[in-house]
Amino acid sequence: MSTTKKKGISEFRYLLGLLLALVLVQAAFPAIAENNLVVQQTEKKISGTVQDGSTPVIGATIKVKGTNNGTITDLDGKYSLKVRVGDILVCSSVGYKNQYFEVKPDQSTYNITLEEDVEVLSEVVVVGYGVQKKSDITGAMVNVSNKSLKQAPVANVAAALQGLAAGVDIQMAGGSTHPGAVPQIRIRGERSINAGNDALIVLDGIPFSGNLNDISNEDIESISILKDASATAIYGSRGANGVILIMTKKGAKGKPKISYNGYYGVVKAINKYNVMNSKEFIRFKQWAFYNANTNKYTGPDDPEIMQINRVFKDQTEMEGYYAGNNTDWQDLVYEDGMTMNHQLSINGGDNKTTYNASVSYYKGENNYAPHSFERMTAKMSIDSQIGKNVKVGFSSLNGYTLNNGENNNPMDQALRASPFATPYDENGALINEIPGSGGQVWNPLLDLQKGAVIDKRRALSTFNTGYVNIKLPYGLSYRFNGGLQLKYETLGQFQASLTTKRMGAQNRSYADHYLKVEYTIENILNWNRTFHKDHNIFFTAMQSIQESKRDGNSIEAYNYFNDNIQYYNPSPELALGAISGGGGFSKWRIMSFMGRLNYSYKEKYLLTATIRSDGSSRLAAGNKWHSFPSIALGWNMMRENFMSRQHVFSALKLRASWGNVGSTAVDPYQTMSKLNTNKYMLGSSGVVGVYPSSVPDKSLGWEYTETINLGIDFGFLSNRINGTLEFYQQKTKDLLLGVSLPITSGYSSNYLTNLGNTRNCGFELNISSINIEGDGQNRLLWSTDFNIFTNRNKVTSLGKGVLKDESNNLYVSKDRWVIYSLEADGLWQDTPEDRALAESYGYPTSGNSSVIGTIKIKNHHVDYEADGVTPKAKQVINDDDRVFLGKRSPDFEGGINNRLAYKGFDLSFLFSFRSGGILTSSMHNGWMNTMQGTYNNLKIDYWTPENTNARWPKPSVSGVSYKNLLARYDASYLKLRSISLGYTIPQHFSKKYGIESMKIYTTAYNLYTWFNSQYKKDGGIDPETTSTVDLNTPPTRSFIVGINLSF
Amino acid sequence: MKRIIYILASFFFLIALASCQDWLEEENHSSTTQDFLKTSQGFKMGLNSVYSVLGSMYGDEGGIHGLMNPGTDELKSSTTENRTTTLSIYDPTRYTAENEFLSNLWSNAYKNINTLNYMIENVDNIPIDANLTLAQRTQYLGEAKFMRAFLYFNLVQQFGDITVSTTFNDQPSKSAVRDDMLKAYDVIIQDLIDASTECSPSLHLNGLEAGRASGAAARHLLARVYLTLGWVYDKSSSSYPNNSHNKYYDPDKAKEYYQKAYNIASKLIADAPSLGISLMSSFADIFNEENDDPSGKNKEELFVARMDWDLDNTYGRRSTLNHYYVNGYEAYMGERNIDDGRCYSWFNPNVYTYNAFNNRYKDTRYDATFQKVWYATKAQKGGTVSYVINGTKESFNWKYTVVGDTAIYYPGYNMTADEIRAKTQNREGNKYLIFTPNAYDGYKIFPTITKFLDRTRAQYNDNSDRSYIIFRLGETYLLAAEAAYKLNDNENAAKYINILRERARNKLTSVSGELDIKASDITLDFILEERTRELLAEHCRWADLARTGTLLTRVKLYNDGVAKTNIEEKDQLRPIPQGQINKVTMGDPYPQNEGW
Repeated sequence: MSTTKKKGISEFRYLLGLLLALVLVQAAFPAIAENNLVVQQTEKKISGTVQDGSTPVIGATIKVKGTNNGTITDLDGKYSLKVRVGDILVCSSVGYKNQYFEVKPDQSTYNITLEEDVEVLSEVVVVGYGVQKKSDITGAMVNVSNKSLKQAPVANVAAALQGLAAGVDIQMAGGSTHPGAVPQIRIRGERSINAGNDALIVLDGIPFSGNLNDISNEDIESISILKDASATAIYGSRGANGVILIMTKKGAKGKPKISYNGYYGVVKAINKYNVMNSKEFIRFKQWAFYNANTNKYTGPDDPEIMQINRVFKDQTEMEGYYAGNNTDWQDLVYEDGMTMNHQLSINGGDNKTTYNASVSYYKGENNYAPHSFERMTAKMSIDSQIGKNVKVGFSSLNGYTLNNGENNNPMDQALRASPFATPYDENGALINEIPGSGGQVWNPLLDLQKGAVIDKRRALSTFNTGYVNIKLPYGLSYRFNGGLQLKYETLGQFQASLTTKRMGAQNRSYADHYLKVEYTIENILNWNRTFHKDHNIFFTAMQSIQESKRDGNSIEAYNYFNDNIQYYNPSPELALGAISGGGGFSKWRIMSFMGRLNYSYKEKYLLTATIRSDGSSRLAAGNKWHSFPSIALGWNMMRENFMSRQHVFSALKLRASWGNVGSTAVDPYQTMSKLNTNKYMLGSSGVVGVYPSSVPDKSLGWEYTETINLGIDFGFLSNRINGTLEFYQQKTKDLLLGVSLPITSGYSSNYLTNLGNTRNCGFELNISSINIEGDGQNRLLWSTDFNIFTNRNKVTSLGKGVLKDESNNLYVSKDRWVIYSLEADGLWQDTPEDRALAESYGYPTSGNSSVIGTIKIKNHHVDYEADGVTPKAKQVINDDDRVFLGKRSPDFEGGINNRLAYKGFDLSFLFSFRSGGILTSSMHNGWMNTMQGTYNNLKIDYWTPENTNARWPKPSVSGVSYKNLLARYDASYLKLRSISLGYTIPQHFSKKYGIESMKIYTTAYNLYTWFNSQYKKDGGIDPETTSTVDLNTPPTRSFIVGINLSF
Repeated sequence: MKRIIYILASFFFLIALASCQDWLEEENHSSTTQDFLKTSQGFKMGLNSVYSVLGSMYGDEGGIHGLMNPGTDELKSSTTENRTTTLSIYDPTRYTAENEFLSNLWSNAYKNINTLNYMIENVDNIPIDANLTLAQRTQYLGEAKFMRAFLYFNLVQQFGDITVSTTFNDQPSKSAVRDDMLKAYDVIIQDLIDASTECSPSLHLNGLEAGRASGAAARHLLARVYLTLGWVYDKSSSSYPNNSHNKYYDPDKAKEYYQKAYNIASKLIADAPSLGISLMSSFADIFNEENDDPSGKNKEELFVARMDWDLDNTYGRRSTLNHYYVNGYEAYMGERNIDDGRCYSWFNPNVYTYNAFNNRYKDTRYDATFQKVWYATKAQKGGTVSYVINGTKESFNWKYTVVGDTAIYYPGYNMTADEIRAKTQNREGNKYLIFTPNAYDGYKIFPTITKFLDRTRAQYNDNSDRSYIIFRLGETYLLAAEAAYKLNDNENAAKYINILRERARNKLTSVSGELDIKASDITLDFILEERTRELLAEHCRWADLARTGTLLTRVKLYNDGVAKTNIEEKDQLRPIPQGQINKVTMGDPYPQNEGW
C-alpha cells in the first residue's frame, strides 16, 4: 500500500504545481494583448468610466458596433479606446442593459452609467463558487425559482422540490406521513451501495450538513441543482451524488420594503385504512381457526369452534362479540390537523449596503394529534461595499424546530385492536388490554392521554456565513469564505406504564442530546481576462478546509414513581428501575485544493476544465488523497453565421462533459480494528467483555464516479418553447462496499472495502413553453413546464469472478434494487391438476396442513436426476426457484407544472408522475396482515372454498406463508400534487391603503392520486415512497388559504 | 501585486506540504481498538465476552431451545405459529437453510471461537501483572479451551462436518473449508483434557465465580463427547443405512470411546464429594428458584448460563425460557398472573412424555415437572367447556366466584365425566375446570412445565432473570449408565440410574429401593425414557436422539404433531446456514448437507 500512498501525494503536488504555473504564465499575457490594440488605425482616442450607480463596473465591454474593435474596463471601471467619429459604441456587461452612444467630434470623455437588466440577470445562474451566464454554462444543471417552490405548503424545501426538476427524484422514505419528515433526494439515481447517496447541499456557498427542516422555505431565493461532473467536479469528493446549491434571499437596493407572507389550512387524512368490522372479523377468525383444525371440526360454522381457546381467546373477547360491539378504532384515534406559516421580512439598502432580514413561524400537523412539526427561524444578511475594492457580507440563519411524535407510531396497535372491544369500561375508564389479544394489543386511546407518551425532538441550529471580496489588479480578485454551523439537538421520550408502548411494563424515559460544530474556510482567487478581444478566460483557484465534530450523550431510565418527571430528571432517586447511558464522539476533516478554468472564444466555443484534490480523514493512511478532474465543452451554435439563415431555432447549444467525482460518505473510524463490548454476570458482579467485531480494510480509499454528459439546450419560436435534453452515463468505481464475510471467519459485521462498480445512465428532458402569450392582465398567459427523466441502474461488477452478493441483494448486471425472489403463481386450488402437482412436491393436500388455498410458488428451477436430462419426479421448491421479478426504481418519472394568469388571477397546478417499478407494502406483510385471526386484519380478499378467485390465501391460526410475495404492487402513479388559485389586488386599489402589493390565494395540496388498482383494492392509500410503504398514519391532503402582503 | 501572488502561492504550498497529513489524522473517542486484547485486562475481558454468548444461547427466543426441545419425541410445537414452528415440525416448505435458529447458533459459535483462538494462541504473551496472576492466566486459558470445545461440540452435533480453526483470523477471508467432523472432535477432546486440569477443579471450590467453567464441567462434557463419539463409530451402514455417521463405523473404536466415557463419568461421580458437588436431595430442589446462582446452594449444577437481572440489572439479562411451556390458562382466568406465567404456549408434551412419567405415586418427578392447579385471580362468569371422553362429547359448566379458590385442575390422568362432575359441578364456590389428558388439544390446553417458571418477576409479561443450568451431575449418572449399557455392563448402568431414582422417590409413599430397576430392565429405550423423566426440556433431547441414531424412529413413533409425518432422513443433520454458503465467494463453494 505504501506505493499507492506515494503516488497519491505526488500526483496531487504535480497538479498543484501545474495550477500555479498557469497562474504565473497567464500574468504575462496582458502586455501582449495591449500591443495588438495600439497597432490599429484610429482617428480619435476616447476614455471614461463605466459605473453602476456609484460603483465602477469592472470588465464591462466597450465595442464599436459591427466591428471587433473594443476594450474592457479596468478595476476602476475606466477604459480608453481609439475610435472614429460617428461610430456607434456599445457598452455591455453581464447583468446590465446594453448602452449605446455615438462618438461626437468634440467629446472625448464618455462616462457611462449602466442599468441593471432584470431579464438578463435571471439568465445568470448560481454555479459552484460563483455565478455564470446561462449561455456560458457547459454542465448539466437545473434551476428552480422560489416562485415554483412556493406552490407547495410543506415543511421543507425538499418536499417543495418534488416534481419540479428533471433528474431529481424526491420521495418520502417508507412513505412517511409525519409532518416533520424530510424526503429523500436522489439525483440521477443511486450509485453507491454502502456510502451515502445523498446530494451535497451547499447553502449560500458553504457545504450544509444540517437538516433541511432548519430552513424556512420563504427564505430561499433560488436553487440550482448540479448534475454532471462538469458542474459538480469542483466539489470533488462530494460531487458524485449531485450538488444542490441553495441561495437565500439577499438585500436589494431601495427603500425598506416590509412583507408579510402567511397561510393557514386544514390537514385531512385522504382515507382510513381498510380493516375488518365486527362481522367481517368474526368470519375471518372462524376461517382462520377452522383452517388450522380441519380434522376436528366440520367447518367455520361449526358451533363447537365458537368457544374460548378456539375462535375466542378469552371470555371478555367472546362477550364483546356477542354484545354486538363494532368499534372503529381509527375514528377514535384520528383528528383533523392544521398547518400554517407566517413570515415577516424587511429588505432594502443604499448604494453601499443592502440588507434582508426575516422572522418566520411554521407549523404542520397530520391527522394524529401527537404528530406535529414546528419551526421558528430568524434570518439576517448584510452585504456592504467598503471602499472601492472591498466587499464584505455576512449572513446568519437561525432556526429552532420542534418535532413531536417522530417515533410514536400508533398504527400497529390502532389497526390491530379488535372491533369487539370497546375503549371504555362500564365505569367510563379507559380499558388497558384489548381482550383477545393476549396482552399484545393495548387500547390505543391510552397513548392520547396528556403526558402518557412523549416524543419530542428539539433542535437549535445556526448557520453563519461571511465573505470578504477584494478586487486586485490584473483582473484578479480574492475571496475569503467562512462558514460556521452549530447545531444542538435533543430528543426526550417518555412512555408511561399503561400505554401501548409499555403495555404495563415499567415506564421508560430516554433522552439524548448532541452538539455539532462544523466549520469551513475557503480561499478563492479569481482571474478574469479577455484578450485578443475574443478570448475570455475566467480562472478560479480555491483552497479549503472543513471540519465536522459531533458529540453527545444519552440516558435511558425506567420506573419513575411519578410519571410527571417525564424524562427531565433520570436520577436514581426518581427512576427506581434501571438507568443506563451512552454516547459518542465523531470527527472528520476534509482538505481540498481546486482549480477551474472557463474559457470562451467569441462566446461561441466554451471550455470548462476543473481539477480538485481532496484529502479525507476518514480513509486509510496512504489513500486519503484523490484528485478529481473534469472537462467540458460547449458550442453555442446560434452564434455561428450559418445559423442566422434559419428561423427554426432561436437557441441552440451543444454540450459535452467528462469528469470524475468522488464519494467519501463513510462513517469515520472505519479503518480501525475495533472491539465491541458486551456484558455478563460472573459471581455476584457484572463484568464487561470485549471481542473483535470488525476486520478493517487498512487500505480503504475513495469511491469515485466517472460521468459523461451530453446536452442540448434549444429554443424555438423566439424561445417561446425552450428546453434541455441531457444524456448521461455514470460509472461508479471502487465502490465502498460492505462485504459480508462467511461467519466462519469470526466476523459477522460487514467488511467495508473498495469493491465493484455500478453504472447509471439515463436521459432527462425539460421543456418550458408559453402556450398562450399574453401579458397576464388583459390577455391570458399560459405557460407550462414539463420534465421527464429516466435512470437505469446496473451493478456492473462485484469483484473478480463474483456474480452475486445475496446478503446485500447485489447481482451483477442487474439493478441495485432488483427484486430477486420466489414468484407467487396464484393459490393452490382444489382441482385435480393442482392436487397432483402439490403432491409431486410432497405437499399435503388434506388435513390441517393442506396447501389448498395457500400461495402457490412458481417452479422456475427444474430439478434433474443425476443424468442432467430427466426431470426428477419429486420437484423441490426452494431458493433455486427465485427469479428476477423487477426493480423498485421507476422506468421514468417527471412532472408538469402549469400556470395561467389573467386579470390579476393566477392558477397553477402541478402534476407529478412515476411509471414502473415495484412497490413493497410492509403493511401487507406485517402485523396488520398476519391472517391468523388473532388480531384485527386488513380487509383483504381471502380464499375460501366458495371464494377461490381471491388474491390472498386462506387465513389460518397456524400462520400464513409467503405473504411477502403478494405484498408487491406496481408503483406507478400520477399525482395532482398541488393546485393553487390566487388573486392579486390591483395596485391602484391597494395603494390607497398603503399596500404596495397584495395577493390572496388558496391551495389544495396532495389532492388526488391515480394508481394501481390492485393496490387500491388491497387498501393502499398513496403509493408514493422510496421503496416500501411502511405502516404510517394515513397520508393526508391539505387545503390552505394564504396572503402575501408588502408595504 | 506580484508579491501578493507569491505570498498566496507560498501559503498554498505550506499547507500542502507541511500539515495536511497530520491534519487528516483521525481522532477516536468512541471505541476501543484491537490492541487492547493483548493486555492482561483485555485477556480477561475477552473471556468475559465469550461467556456472554451463553446468555443469548440459553436466554433468547432465537437461542438453542428451538433446536433441542420441540420436534423430538418429548415435545412438539403448539398449533399456533411461533418462531420455532417451521423447524420443530420439519416443515417441508418453510424449514430451510435460512432458519434463524441455525444461523444464530452458527454465528454465536464462530464469532466467539475467533476470540478464543486469539486468547489461546497468544496466552504466552499476555503480561503477568497487577491485573492477572500466573495462576489466573492458566485458569482463564483452561476456561477458554472449555468454551471453545463447548461451542465446537454444539456445532458438530447439529451440522456434522464444520469449519475447524484454532488460529485467530484478522483477515477479511471470503473462503472457508468444511472439515471432517473428526477434526472438530480432535480439537474438542484435547481442549477438554487441558481444561479439566487448567480450570479450577469445581464451581464450588476456590471461591470460583458462579458462571465460570470448571474442571468438573470439562469432565462432564468430555464424558458426553466420548459417548457421542462412541456412538459415531458404532453405527454400521446396515443398521443405520441413511445416517452420515456410518462411514466412520469401527466397533473397536466405539468400544474404546464408550470406555473412555464411562471412565470419565464414573470418575467424576466418584470425585464429586471431594469437589463439593452432590445430587440435590430432592428432585424439585434442582429447579427451586431459591437455589439459583449465585446463592451457591445448588450443589448439583456443573455449568450455568447466567441471567441475574434482579441481581444487577445493568450487567444481568433476562431470558424468555420461562414463557415457552406455559399453557393458555389466561383464557379462563381472564388474565395472566406472575406465578402462572406468560402464556406463550409454544411447546407442549407428546403423549409419550406423559406416559414416561409412570409410577407418579412413588416418583416425584411428574409433580416436580408439571403444574396441576391454578387458583382464580378474579371472578369469572364462566360458561361451558366440552371435550370428548370415551367417544362422547361431555360438557361441564364453570364459574369462578371465590378469588384464591381452585380455578383449573389438571389431574394428569383420565377421569370419567361422572367423576369430573362429582368433583366440581356440585361444588360450593368455584366450579373449577378439570382438564384430563382427554382434553389436551395440543394448542392451549396441556399442563405447564414448571422447571423454568420465575415467580419473582415484577410484571406478568416480564422475562425471567433465572440462570439456566446447562450441565448437572444428575446427567453425569445417565451418561455413565448409557456408556455402561453400551459396554454391556447393565449392572453398572442400573446402579447409576437407581441412584437417581432413589433421589426421585417419594419418601412418604414408598420405602427405600422401591423405585429401583434391575439390570435386565436396561435397554436403550429405557435409558432414553429415564432421560425424559429426569431431563425433560433441559436442552439436550434432539442431540440425545441424534447421538443414539433414534431421531427418525422416535419422532415418527412418538411425536403427536405433524413432525411425525414431515421428518425425513436429511433431518438427522441440520442444514448449513444459507448465509454461510452465500458468503463464501472465493475458493470452493461451501458444501451443504445431503438433502438440503
